[in-house]
Amino acid sequence: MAADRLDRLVDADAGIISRDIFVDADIFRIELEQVFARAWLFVGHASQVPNPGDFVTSRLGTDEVLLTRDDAGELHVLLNSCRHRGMKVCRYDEGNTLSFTCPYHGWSYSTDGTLVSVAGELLGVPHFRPGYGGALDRSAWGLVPVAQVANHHGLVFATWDPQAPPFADYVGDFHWWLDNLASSASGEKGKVVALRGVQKWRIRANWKFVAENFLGDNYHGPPSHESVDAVGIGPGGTAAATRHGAASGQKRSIASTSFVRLGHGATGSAHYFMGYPTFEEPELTEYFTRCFAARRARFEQEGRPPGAMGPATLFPSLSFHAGPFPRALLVAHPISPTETEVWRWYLVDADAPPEVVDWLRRYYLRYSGPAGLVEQDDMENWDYASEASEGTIARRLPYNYQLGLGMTQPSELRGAVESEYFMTEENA
Amino acid sequence: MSGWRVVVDRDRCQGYANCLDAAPDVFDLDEHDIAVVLTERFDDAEHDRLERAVRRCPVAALRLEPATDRPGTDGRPR
Repeated sequence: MAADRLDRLVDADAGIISRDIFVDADIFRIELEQVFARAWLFVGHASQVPNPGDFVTSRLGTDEVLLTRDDAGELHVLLNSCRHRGMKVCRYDEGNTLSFTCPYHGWSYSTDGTLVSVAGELLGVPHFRPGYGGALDRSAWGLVPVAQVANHHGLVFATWDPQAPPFADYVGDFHWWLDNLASSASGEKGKVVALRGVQKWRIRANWKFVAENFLGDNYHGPPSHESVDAVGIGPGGTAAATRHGAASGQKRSIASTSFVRLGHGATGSAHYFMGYPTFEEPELTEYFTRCFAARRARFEQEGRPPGAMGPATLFPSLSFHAGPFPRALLVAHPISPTETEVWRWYLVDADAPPEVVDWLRRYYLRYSGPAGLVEQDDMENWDYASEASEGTIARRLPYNYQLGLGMTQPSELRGAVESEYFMTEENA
Repeated sequence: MSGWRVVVDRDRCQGYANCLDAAPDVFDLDEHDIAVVLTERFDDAEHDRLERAVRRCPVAALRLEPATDRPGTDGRPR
């Protein structure tokens, strides 16, 4: 497909976007090559692999990978596919090992630095001397590593592209949001662990519905999520009234932030502060009151802006609430133009007392994930919108992205603009 | 006699090298790519580590058994 046809699919000035972008198989294949094979993608949280030999399986776009920690403590991201016939060398979600043996023909790969020079190098080849004449170049047939890995205070990212810009440049000033995601409730970077177990499920929707839902779509909140606030799934129950726990009657966000060239975006700004939640349970109030006081002091001392809370999306497919409350993230893995596999992680303070962790687990699960009420609201929208956009007649019609069009002002953040009204579709 | 020894079934071994990966000080591959055990007898303290290495063999060519003063076995599973 020629680039000029791609240009015709999006009229940014008019706020018109073709539905083909959300349903067309050719465009989807181009996205896999041009976006997912080149972008920095979230792999997992370092706390999932705390010890030498620990591993978890993950995905980068359509490819399955292993996140491993070698015997020297270094993190590696390796393609989970045997170089001989492509079999998954590991079929477990997590575990501890310094080597992976393919179940098909038995090639073995090692991450043990005392035996191999590069993590994932091919170590064991059955019948190496009699069958291959000892000539197979084991150093050329190891598990394929990603081109670059970055550990942002425990958030582990990787890219397949050796030419990709350094992670810090890719993120730019959007790092304020990632910093908060990676921080404890008291604002300490890296003092966070992921709750055990990653939720994984598939939805019948294009991955971009997920991305844009989190990168500044304030518009869908009231009609889509009124019911969850009505039943009081938030920290304050039905009395204090919102699913995030912000006090009712609170001033609305004045803006959404869009990093126009980098592709990241967020509801709110780096300075907009949504407020701290109130809790029904006294022990939760006590814990978070202490944390939030420490956070205020720390942010002032470190010169960090009070906002950058999200929801937000790091281009292309990492969406999250940056915290301090809640702190949760998802990756929308593309499967087909109209199918997406969603993976969710939930973060808690590394030193949180058990009752706080338990409370947060219950809160996260009633909020998010395949059984979470807010996520169900969103999934209904994404699934039915995808289905209703696939029709022969329906797909001829464009989507309307005119909300807030042209109503932006430069942000103090590099490469970013802020919307003048708190609802906008400029981010998308 | 206390202690342990590792027996290799030379017919089963295909040279996967998983034992070597698990315990490089205990195993090697010979010129036919068949596993060889570098030490004749192991202390009880080594038992768990050896058992882990033995279990790593994809074709169960390794066996951990109590060391005795009997002359060597034929290396085949009993």
